Order: sequence, then C-alpha cells, then structure tokens
Amino acid sequence: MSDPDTRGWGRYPDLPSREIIPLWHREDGLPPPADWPHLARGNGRSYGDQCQNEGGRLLATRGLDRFIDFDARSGLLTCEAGVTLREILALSVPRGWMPPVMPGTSEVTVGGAIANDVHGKNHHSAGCFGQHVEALTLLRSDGRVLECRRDQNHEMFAATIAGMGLTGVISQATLRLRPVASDRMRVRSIRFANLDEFFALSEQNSDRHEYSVSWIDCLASGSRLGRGHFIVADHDDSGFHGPARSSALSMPLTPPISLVNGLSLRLFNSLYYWRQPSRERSQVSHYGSYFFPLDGIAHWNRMYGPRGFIQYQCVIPEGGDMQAQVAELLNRISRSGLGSFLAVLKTFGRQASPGMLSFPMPGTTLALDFPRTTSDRLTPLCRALDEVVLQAGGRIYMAKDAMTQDIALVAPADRLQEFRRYIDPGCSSSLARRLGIAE
Amino acid sequence: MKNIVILGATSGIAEQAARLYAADACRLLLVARNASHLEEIAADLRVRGADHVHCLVSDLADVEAMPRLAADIAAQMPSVDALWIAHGTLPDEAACQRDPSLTAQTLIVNGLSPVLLVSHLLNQSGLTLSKLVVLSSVAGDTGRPSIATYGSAKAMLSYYLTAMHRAGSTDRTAVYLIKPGVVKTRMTAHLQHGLLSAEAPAVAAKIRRIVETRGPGSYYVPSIWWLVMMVVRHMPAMVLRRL
Repeated sequence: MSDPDTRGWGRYPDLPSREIIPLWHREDGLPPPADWPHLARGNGRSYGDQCQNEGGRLLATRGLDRFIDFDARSGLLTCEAGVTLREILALSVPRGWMPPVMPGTSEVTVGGAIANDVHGKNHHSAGCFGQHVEALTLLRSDGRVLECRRDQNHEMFAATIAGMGLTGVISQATLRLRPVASDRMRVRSIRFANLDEFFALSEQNSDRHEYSVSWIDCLASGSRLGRGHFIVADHDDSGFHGPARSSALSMPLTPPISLVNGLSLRLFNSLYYWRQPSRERSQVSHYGSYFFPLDGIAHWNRMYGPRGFIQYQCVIPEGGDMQAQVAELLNRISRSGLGSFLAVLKTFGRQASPGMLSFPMPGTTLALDFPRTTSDRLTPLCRALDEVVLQAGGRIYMAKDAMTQDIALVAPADRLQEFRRYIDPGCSSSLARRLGIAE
Repeated sequence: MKNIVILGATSGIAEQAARLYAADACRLLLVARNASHLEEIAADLRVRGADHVHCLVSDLADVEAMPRLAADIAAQMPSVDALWIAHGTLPDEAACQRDPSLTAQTLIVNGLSPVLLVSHLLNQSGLTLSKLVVLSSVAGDTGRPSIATYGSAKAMLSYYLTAMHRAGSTDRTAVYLIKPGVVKTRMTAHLQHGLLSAEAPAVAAKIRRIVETRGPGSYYVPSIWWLVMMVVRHMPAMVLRRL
C-alpha cells in the first residue's frame, strides 16, 4: 500500500506514520496494542503535526460517523466521535438546533473539536466547544472504557477537552445544542481604519452581538496599521429557507508555486478592504456562508503550493499593554512582508472552558496563515512573534501551531504538570513529542 | 412512506443507502450477522428520521437458515417496496489460494448465498416484493487473478440474475443487478485506492436513484465502469496479462 497523505491541513510538516488503522464500530473498541503509540485522527483539519504520529499508529475515526441519540426537546445530541459538524448541522438545523460553538470550518469531527477545544466567533458569549460537551467516552489503551462528565471522572473529562488526543481515543460524546429559529444570520460589517478603531468598536459592540470577528489587512502599516472590517452577527428569526444555492468549487491540483505571494497578497488585501463603498453594510446570510466561507472551495489549502503553509494564532491577555503588544505583532508581520488573505482579530471573553489545556483567555487573539517560502523567512518571524507573546504572558494555539519549540508558550507549567497525570501511556503524537508534552 | 429491507445492512454501501431511506422517513428492516454492529446502525437510522427500524440477526452465509429468514421477513414486512441484497466479503486472494476452506467460504458468501436468497425470497408465500436490488460487482465481469475467488462468486451471481431476467421469471418483481466498481468501504480498506475509487455515500445515492427512476436491468455504478469493463473485455488476453 502506498503512503496515504496524513499531513495536517497546512500540508506541512509531513511525518509519515507506521500504519493507519480505520475504526468502524465503537463497540469493537481499540485494535490489539502494538509496540508503538497510537493517536486518533479525525478529518485532518488541524494545521500542523497535531494529528500526525511519526513512526506510530494512526486510528482513523471517520468510520465512527453514527448518531446515537437526539432529543429534539432538550437539544441533547449523542453521536460517535467521527461525525463532522457538517453532518450534525444537516440533521439538526431543520429541527431547530445548532452546535453552540463552531470553528471556521464545518469539516471538523466532534472528537477533533473536543481534543482541540475549538472556539468560534462567539467566544465572548458562548466560550469554547468543550463547555457544551455533557459527556464523552474514552477508550484507553489498557482496555478500559471511561465515561467522563462533569460529575464522573471529571479530571479525565477536563484533561481530554483540549487534550490533543493524548488522554485516549474519544469514541462518542454528548453535546448540548442551542435552539435556532432560522437558518439565516443577520450580519453587519463596519470598516475601520486602524487598530485603535478596532479596539473602540470591539468595546462598544461585542456585548451587544452574539458573534463578532474582524478581518484585517496584515500588510497595511503606519497610520493604517490594523485596518480592516469588524463583522458582528446574530441569529435571524425568519424561519428556515434551506441552503443558499452553492456552487461547488475546488482546487483540483496543487500549483507548482504558491498562489499566495507578495503581489497577490497586496492586491487581495487592498481590494478586500475597499470591497464595500460605504463604511457600514448589513445583510442576511445563510449560516453556512457566514460561519464557513471557505468550505465552499474544496482543497483550498492547495492554493499555497507544494510547500504548504503554517497558521499562527496567539492570544495577548487583556490589561497591561494589550493594545501596544497587538500593534507590535502587526508591525513585525507587516515589516516581514509575509502574511495572508485571512488575518483575523477577535476579542475573547471571560468564559472559562473546563479544558485543562484550553487555549483562550480574556484578551485579543490574532490568527493568520503564512505561505512557506523557499527562503526561510518564516522561522525568524515566528520567533519574533513568539517573543512578543511570551513577554505579554500570552499563549499560542496548539491546534494550529507547527513551529514553536517552547512549551511555555502553549500552557502554564502547573497545568501541564497536572495534565501529564492523565495522558494515556499508549498515546502520543508528533506535536506532543515536539513540545515535550509526552514521550 | 416506504418499506425497505436490507440484507447485509452492516456493509458499507448498504449502510449509506439505509441513511438515505431513513432521511425520507422509510420503514426499515435490517438483516446482518453482527448484532452489536446492527444495533449501532439501527440507532443511527432512528436519529436520522427512519419511521421504524427493525433488526433481524442472521448469518446470510448459512444456507440452512434461509427458509426461516425468508419467512421472518414476510412476517415482519409482507409488502416490500425495495429489498437490497448487499452482503459480501473480499478476502486476500493469496490467502484463498492457500486455504480451500476460505475459498469455499468466499464462494458461498458472495455467490451461492445471494443466489439462493433471491430464489427463496421470490418463492416466499405472503411476501410481495416490488423491487429487488442485488449488489454484484465489476469483479464478476472478467477474470482478474488478484480477485479470482471473489470475482468467480460475483460472476455466478451476475450470470444467474441476467439469465433469470431473460427468462422472464422475475416479471412480478423488478430486479436490479448493480455492478459497483471499487468503492471505499470497510471491505476495501486494505486496497490501494486510485482515481476510479468512489465514495460509498455517492454510490449509494446513485443506486437509489437508478432503482427509483429507471426500469429493471443491469447497471454499472459509477456508470464510467461500463466503459472500463467494455475495454477490458475486448482487450486481447496477451495485453491484459501485462497490465
């Protein structure tokens, strides 16, 4: 059998595993153990080495894609860990329910969403994915099947949420969905000229809207540093209209060089900034195009060419010099000339996730992707950004990282020390070994 | 609302087909050997909207158990809109060549069993079958060494259904002989998949569309396999051997 592609969504790095074993039925449990560690892999949407396990075993969970129970009165949904949010939405939206937290793609599995404790544009109002998990079932390498919830095995529950798959294989979970009266979103977009305006808008608007996120032009500098669009949204109540007509686009192959380069970036960012003639614009969108704008283009990650890309997401805590530190990050990015189509700025809320290693903290998060170029300008840039984050007492989002070597950047030392007690000795990942979380 | 029976309901294509029927609020009767797998699937189909899901645990390779199974189906669901026969196994051919008992088992599960089931079901009193959907394979069309045993069994199945159809012995029931190409399922997880490999949900949807909109007959799914198999069948043996 030829090596199947097990790279992350960023298509870098490439760390082949020894074997890939698909799981098909939750009741069958794990395959007989081997001398090398295993790791669950869902739909491969984390960016770097999170779901790679070089020299080890990958347990492919997409075959665990069955629903187990859904109560349309309470919104409690139990399903297998390989079910994607897209599959949940297809079932739940016509019945008036939606997952309360959704990341930028619906192609993630439930197991992946829990293991990375993903967040979305409503972090300030709904927190992380893990906060809406009522229960999960963990298959441990010693053969035990652990039912974990807030009142049962609660330490294992907390370690598994944002646990990067290291506490065992999640086979199923119960989620509390939220009611919705429509499949449409009311979206308002406000253009802002610089970072100060962003912070002012964020202050005024965040509490008044369920969803809020900003796209920024990461190449603008000087007085225009951090210019962009502030986008707030709420659920509509106009009933269910069905999906908007979608044109299925795809990147059929990987271009020989990245289509994301200095020239195309400047052009795109300027055009995008000026896309709306008025300062403010309101519209009603289908939830799909609002939450998952890129899901309409299959394999969009191929756009970055054969060398792939990395995603950098950090959070700068509130208080102190937050605004100056965010400005410093943007300055360093702007000066480097590297950057992306999709630089995102968002204010996190105060909701605390049950996840022991959960990423968000009150403050401002910045996320953007960088094409990997032939001249390695990326490593020094990442180090320079890490430096700012470390000094600010912030964090790097493990679900996206592929670069950092400094474990202090991903979680506080006391949390890590506690987390290690719950690691399944049969589990490991390339990320865990890179950062020194597990052997 | 429709009444649907699926034999081999835990197989990859069958499970995807069942999901489509469930979303349309059909009544489903599922038959397979593994009770716990069957229950997982039944629960899933109930959540997806099936009006009613009933399971029968039965070893479809057990020829002795067939009269009883046919009677059970008639008792549970006397009037069936579509009955699918979808079970199959694809063992490693080298293992088959070494082990005659595995060869026998493979021939029974993939060939003899579906043929006898068709015979039992069409003759079962108290059972009205509108449509009978039988999953054979492109493997039954030609003698490829790497799937000799599996292909022989499927060849038997395809031959039998085609002959029955020509003889008019299936006039009361519309019979659909479906020949899927390589489909990504649990059965083929050990194979190397190429450009022609299809996804199970898409294949199930295509088969269902054929069954609901076209007349009885023999169909390749995806339809590109009609062309592929025509080329393969007309290729001189000398050329074929080198491929």
